[in-house]
Amino acid sequence: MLRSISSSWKQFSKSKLGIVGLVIILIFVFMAVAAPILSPYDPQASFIAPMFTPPNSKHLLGTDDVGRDVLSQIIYGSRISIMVGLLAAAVGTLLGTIIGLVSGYFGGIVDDILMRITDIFLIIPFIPLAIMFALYVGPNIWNVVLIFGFLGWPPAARQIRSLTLSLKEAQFIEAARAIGAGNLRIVFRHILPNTTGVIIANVVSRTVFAILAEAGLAFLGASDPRNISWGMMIFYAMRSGAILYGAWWTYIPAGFCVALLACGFAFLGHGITLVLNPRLRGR
Amino acid sequence: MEYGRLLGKYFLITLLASLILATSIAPSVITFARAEENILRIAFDCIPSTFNPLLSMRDICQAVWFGGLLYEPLILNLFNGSLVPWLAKSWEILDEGTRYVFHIDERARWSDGEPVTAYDVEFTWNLTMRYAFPSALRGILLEVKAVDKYTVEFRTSQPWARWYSEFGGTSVLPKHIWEKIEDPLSFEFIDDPKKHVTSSAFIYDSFKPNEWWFFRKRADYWKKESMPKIDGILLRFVSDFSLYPLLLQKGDVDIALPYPFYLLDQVKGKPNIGIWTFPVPVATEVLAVNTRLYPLNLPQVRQAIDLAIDKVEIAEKYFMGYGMPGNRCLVNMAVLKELYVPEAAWLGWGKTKEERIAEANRILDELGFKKGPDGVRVTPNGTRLSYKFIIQMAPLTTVRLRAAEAIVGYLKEIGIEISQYQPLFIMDYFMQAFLAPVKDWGFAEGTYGEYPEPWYNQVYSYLLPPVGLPQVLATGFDQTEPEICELISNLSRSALRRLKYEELAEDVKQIIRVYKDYIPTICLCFYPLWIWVYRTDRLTNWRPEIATKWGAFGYPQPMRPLIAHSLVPVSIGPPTAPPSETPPTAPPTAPPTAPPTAPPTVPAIPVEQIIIAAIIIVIVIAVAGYAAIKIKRKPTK
Repeated sequence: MLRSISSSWKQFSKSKLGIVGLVIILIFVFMAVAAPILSPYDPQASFIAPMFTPPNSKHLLGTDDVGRDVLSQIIYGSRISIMVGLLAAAVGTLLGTIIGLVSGYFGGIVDDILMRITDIFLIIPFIPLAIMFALYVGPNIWNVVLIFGFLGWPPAARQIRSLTLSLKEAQFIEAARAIGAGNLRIVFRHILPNTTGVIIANVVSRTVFAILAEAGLAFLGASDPRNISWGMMIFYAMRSGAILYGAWWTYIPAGFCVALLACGFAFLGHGITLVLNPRLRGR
Repeated sequence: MEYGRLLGKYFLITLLASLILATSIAPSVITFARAEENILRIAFDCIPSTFNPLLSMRDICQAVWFGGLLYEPLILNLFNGSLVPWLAKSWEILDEGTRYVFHIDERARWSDGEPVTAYDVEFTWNLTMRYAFPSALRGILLEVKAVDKYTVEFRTSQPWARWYSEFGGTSVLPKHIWEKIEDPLSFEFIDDPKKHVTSSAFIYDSFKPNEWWFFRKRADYWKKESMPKIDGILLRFVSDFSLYPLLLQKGDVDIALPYPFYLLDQVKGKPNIGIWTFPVPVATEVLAVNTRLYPLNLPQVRQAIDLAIDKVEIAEKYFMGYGMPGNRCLVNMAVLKELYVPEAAWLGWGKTKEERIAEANRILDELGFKKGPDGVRVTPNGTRLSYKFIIQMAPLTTVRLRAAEAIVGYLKEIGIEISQYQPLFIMDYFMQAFLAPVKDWGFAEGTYGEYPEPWYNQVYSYLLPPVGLPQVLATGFDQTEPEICELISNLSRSALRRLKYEELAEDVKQIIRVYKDYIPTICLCFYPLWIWVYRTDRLTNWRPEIATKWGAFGYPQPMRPLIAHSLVPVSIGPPTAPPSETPPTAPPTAPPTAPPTAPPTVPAIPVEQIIIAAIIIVIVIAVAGYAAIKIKRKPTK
């Protein structure tokens, strides 16, 4: 196993984009974990300086409309983005994996029904549906994770289903059936391990989507306004007239962080794809 | 041939794409044939769905913005307290305030030339009583009758303090038009200006759906001494308040309403911009407490909550210095001295934060509510003090959300937890706070507007049976403290019967003396909701102090008489100085927190048009280049 990990790492390290992505993610993860140490002020402490103070030596990224330190909010905001991104991707991928495996393995009417449900979820525009659910169940961060998870499974389901369809015809599956292995054992002991690569790639790509979607939902006011998140920072900046005040520091750094973190996961996904798909590796 | 066909195809595609792009991004510019017309251009924030006045209670946009423009009232009720004859030239109050007689001005004419008569008033009220009877007048207004062609009489069961607003201030409709309509509720002319027959100085002329509505001056307006000097009024919908400063500075509009106070720093000191605020900050930011939930039904718990909330911080910081701290009633006693009840002042005055929190904690400790390991109090019977908090999003979304966050923090310090925090759009908030059959929230933060009379806020809130959207519907106070609520309601009804203000004020003070011990709705702060920011370089003689109070909320609207009739285009004559006895009231000084902004530069070239042209040129070049490359690469046979 160690040799397998070492070999994978060697392949991954050849991808410059992947390394860049990993570094970006590690920086943000470190920021999120070490937030209490790194943050110069309490991000919730209001009016520690006049509102919309430009960046200066005391407040490196200035203050917002209620005099809160922007840098502290950026640091603490990374927690929400990473947490929501990863958890929502995990929930969505888990659901998609189960549905894809069941659909692909059993086929027939089960496959038809599950794929038609998948089609419906794919057709419905995500953001309006997410906003509607968020407002209905209440703008709470856990609700947001669940909403993204429950709405974000279709791509994973389709990919896992395709792979399952091809794997279930493989000879080793035939052999397993021949020696009396049950369906559950075949799906979870034989097919699932062979879809790990797709699952991991899916988690990474869904994380990108979830980070951007969470920021979008917060910006639209459909997330919990009490949470310090980058999207919520932009929401307050827009609504409090930061643009008119010329207070670019209240929304540009937050937007930049969203974009940078999403890029980090996208680059990481590129690197992982190279490891999992030998055909993509250069000679 | 091949070359020509291909190029032609790409040219057509380019042309189509450019046209679509140009029309989609070109600003929706309102142009009029005659550039020299002097028109009052108003930016406002809603879209009316109907111009039928019988449906105005269902369409607040129509009621607030168009009500005083479509038709005229019998009398005008001004902000400075004056009553001005309008369709009625005089009036009498007889039989100890149970008969209100109005004498119609014989000169008054409808736009089709027919005279305005008492029969129009009688007909209007018959329609109103049948289809849109104001709930406040149920059991009060008995009959409206035309005594003769120019005399109309309102008969009531009791004196009515707001007779000038409800009887005198309501629009009069043309009987000869409306009596022919089979179903008055379905009559509509918002999309057909020709159907508008009015006595007012401006007649509905044209519109662009969901964008603007234009009213043109009538040269044959009957009230010659009040003939407007402007040519028309344009109401332009602007969806985002944050655009108001830009529109004003660019000169695209003459006035933008309602102007949010947190954007005032953007226009203060700017050339050709005037600012006026409601003379007394009386819009009330309130925290309704759902007394149906235990132990929020206990007055001591509400007193502790009231003490824990730092009203000074909310007013000075979250309301950016434009707020005044609330007290223990719903009237701004600090500025309305005649309603001052010393015992109803906020109990937190003069105390430090630590003292207030300690006092609030002591009150809750004495009730036996112990704090658990997580800091949340639990009652002896096991009820956790953990509640849902709903917040009205607009107006003042950011200000209110920030203040609500602070309130959550204050409550946490006394062991009350907010389990769910839900900002809601305005209509959803009204539904959940007032109209929903089951109310599962513990706290609801919202605003009470500026009523025509500041005392009305206190009187209306707990009137039974409920009138409109009063706080009694939200808090359930009539169910949890029925005797106290009945006492307050009886005092309210007494106040509404008073024709003399001193007697009315005494009744209101009595209400406050009772209310202060129960405060089912906590008063957070008072603030100026209705602020005028207007340009002074095109139209002059802005006199907000002679604005007319109108309808439920009394907002001073510039499109109504007397303002619209007083404005003078600068091109016509020199500006008239405002009367010295009523100088415009400057807003309270905001803390100097905003960074200095560069003065606006007026663009000398049409920037938008250049951008559109540049985009079109780029598209043409790109497509032409692509076409050229494709043609070049096409393999020869």
